[in-house]
Amino acid sequence: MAVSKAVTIASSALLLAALSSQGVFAAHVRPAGTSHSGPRYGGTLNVGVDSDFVTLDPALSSALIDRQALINIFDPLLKLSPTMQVEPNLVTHWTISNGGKTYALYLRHGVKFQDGTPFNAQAVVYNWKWEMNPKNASPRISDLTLVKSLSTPNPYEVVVNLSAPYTPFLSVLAGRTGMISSPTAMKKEGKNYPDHPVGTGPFEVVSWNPEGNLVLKKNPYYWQKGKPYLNKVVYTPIVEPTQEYDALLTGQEDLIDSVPYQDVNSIKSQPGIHSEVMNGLGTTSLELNTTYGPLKNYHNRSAINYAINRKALIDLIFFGHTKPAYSQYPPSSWAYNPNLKIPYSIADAKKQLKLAGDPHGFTVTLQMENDTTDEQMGEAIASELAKVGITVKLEPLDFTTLLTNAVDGNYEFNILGWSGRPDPDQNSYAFDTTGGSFNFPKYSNPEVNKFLLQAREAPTEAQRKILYNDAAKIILQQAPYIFIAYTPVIQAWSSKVEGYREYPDDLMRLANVWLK
Amino acid sequence: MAGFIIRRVLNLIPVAFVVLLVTFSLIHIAPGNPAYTILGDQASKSAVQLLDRKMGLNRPLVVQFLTYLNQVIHGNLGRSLLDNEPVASLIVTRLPVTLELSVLAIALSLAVALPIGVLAAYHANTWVDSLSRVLALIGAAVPNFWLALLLVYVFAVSLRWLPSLGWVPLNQGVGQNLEHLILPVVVLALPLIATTSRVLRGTLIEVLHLLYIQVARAKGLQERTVVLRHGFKNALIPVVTVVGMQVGLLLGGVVITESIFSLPGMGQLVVDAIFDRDYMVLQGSVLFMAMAVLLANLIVDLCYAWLDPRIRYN
Repeated sequence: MAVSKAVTIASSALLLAALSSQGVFAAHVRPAGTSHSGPRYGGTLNVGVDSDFVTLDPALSSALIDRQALINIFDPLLKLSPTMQVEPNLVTHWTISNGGKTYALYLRHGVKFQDGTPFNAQAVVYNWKWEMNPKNASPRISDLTLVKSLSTPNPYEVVVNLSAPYTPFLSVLAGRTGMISSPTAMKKEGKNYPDHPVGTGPFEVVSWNPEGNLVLKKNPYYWQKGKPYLNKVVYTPIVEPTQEYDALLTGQEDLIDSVPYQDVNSIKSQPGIHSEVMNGLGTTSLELNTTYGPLKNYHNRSAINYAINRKALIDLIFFGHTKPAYSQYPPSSWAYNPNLKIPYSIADAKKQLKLAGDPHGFTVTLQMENDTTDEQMGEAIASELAKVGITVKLEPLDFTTLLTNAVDGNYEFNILGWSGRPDPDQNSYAFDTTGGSFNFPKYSNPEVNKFLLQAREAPTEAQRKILYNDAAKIILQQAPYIFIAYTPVIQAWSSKVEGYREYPDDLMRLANVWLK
Repeated sequence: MAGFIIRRVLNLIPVAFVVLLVTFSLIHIAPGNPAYTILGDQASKSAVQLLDRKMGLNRPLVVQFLTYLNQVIHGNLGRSLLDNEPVASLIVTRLPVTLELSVLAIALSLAVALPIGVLAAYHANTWVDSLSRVLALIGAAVPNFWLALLLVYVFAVSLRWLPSLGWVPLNQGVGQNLEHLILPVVVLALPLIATTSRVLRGTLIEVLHLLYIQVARAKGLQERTVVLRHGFKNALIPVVTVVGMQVGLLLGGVVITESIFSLPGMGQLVVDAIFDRDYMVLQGSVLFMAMAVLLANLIVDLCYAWLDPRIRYN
């Protein structure tokens, strides 16, 4: 119902590589007030998630929700810190050479899969070759398109040769492409592997019922000694947001992946419940088809950009629990620039309409998901734009139709969020460059192409940040997208849950969690 | 009788054909492609085409439909496009939930509606009747998703008497199983209670004015026997018709109720299949549900003969 859900579903279809990482954060995450008693072993954690899992094979998963389970079954090669920086995990260190085209990855020794077989360079290469084989229809293939060759000089080293420099490659290794399955289990299970996945993570799969519940238990081979603390984790998909929230209040669940925005204030007064609102990775935004109708003219797009009162929309939809957005790089990203913004100004909007030659406005059709929140947002946008003479016709659609129309360019203007990824490249390159796979506005600007390509190849974060900002300024001004708000991450858990930490990528890492 | 049953079963065939044709056309008219659900939108055009070919989705629609029809005639509902599970086994794993939910909802609706209907008819146009009318109006008018959330708020969140959602299979404890079903069953039964009780009231009032009832009274039979034995049984035929038709209505309500209460039944299967454009699962489950409704109606027709021995099927 809430935008969080729209965005979750959006991205589960919009999929992409995913970010993710391992919650192997150690003692410093221990919450205040628990220092006198150390972690307690045992117990079952009940976790509510907002949709059904689709597959548990990281090589086949494209739904966003799958990552909630995968992050705990599979330890990715690299992990993300709470500030979304890439850190060593199963890959302990790496070197980049040959102008950014050769990556040597050094693997941790002594790691075993949950079936007791060793984790090594052969396993990594076996997984990637499987994913790169088009016959297997793996969504991971898009992360690996630049891979020219793979080699294993020794059992603990993988050398990756890329056909072009690609700085975000390390971030890819912290997502599903970095989640390695046991080749023995893959061969043994064949087509049934997605129901019986075997990884290196803190928890292994016990059962995945058709009823929707997923049960995990402690992995006895886990490489971090003494972890995890929990014996069992049970995931229950709850598609109705109010019901998920109620399940936490009644104690049926101990931890839930989202809280409806309208309940965020009341949850604070609930005894025995903790909740945190955090900047996420995604944005709630509008896409404007730049090749068709009145929005082909950039002054008309710009008029919309000025005429939308982001603050009012945030109060209406998010109950004030987030910040207005002006770019694809949210406050949780190192590429965020707080100074990039445009004012809410009816006068400027009217000026732009005059420049476009449409001083009395025009009529456009806005497509959105047929979901309470999105329709509410559509109505609010229509009433704001009516103030400058733009008539908005609303066309609510089911999500698959909305997305198909966007892919086919069969729309003028739509509401389509993006769940976001930790590396800025993953939030911009495919969206903004000419012919990019997510460039539904069909926007094309040689300068933006140049900046974003350079950012892929630039070796340092500081250099990349400048390039992303240069591109972001053009995008804001040209308005192929109009960014409304950064999507917040809001999770909640019972006070008997200890050692839990919320991350901007929304993934619930459970290796450090224990029950009081 | 046997001839009647055979004819009715044969009638299922053209209906099944129409159901398949309509479902197939509707889901194929809707934009979208299961290949995108599987591969993701970043998938290259060539990868999508390859998968389309593998799943046979690149062939002309007529060919796809006839191939599917041929499969179904041979008793094969095909496999899910998404996870390759046989559609029949997906239905079998989901069926117990929906079946239990529907049977309990109908049972509850009858247990409540029949006494209310009889009382309202016997005390027609008194306060008893008015009260039952108000209750029926509420039952028919309240949207079930709203009622579901309200009941959860009262009985799960505030009073903590019942679980707010979820499902426990029967073999893991009958008590727990029923506990999880109380709220969804009440939500589903309420509109049924409303209709059934009003229909029974209407017919029973008519019946109670018939001559043979006066004869029964004149014979000095107890009022109780007059109403229940002579009146009630003869007023049941329209009620049975309504209950039969409600099976279809119920399956519609099940879709929403299962999704609110996270019950893993047929309703959720259908909804997921629509969103994922899993043509095979959708066609198979809609066909199955349509057949279930038709069979329920056949059983209703057979009940007529039992209720009224004057009815003969030839």
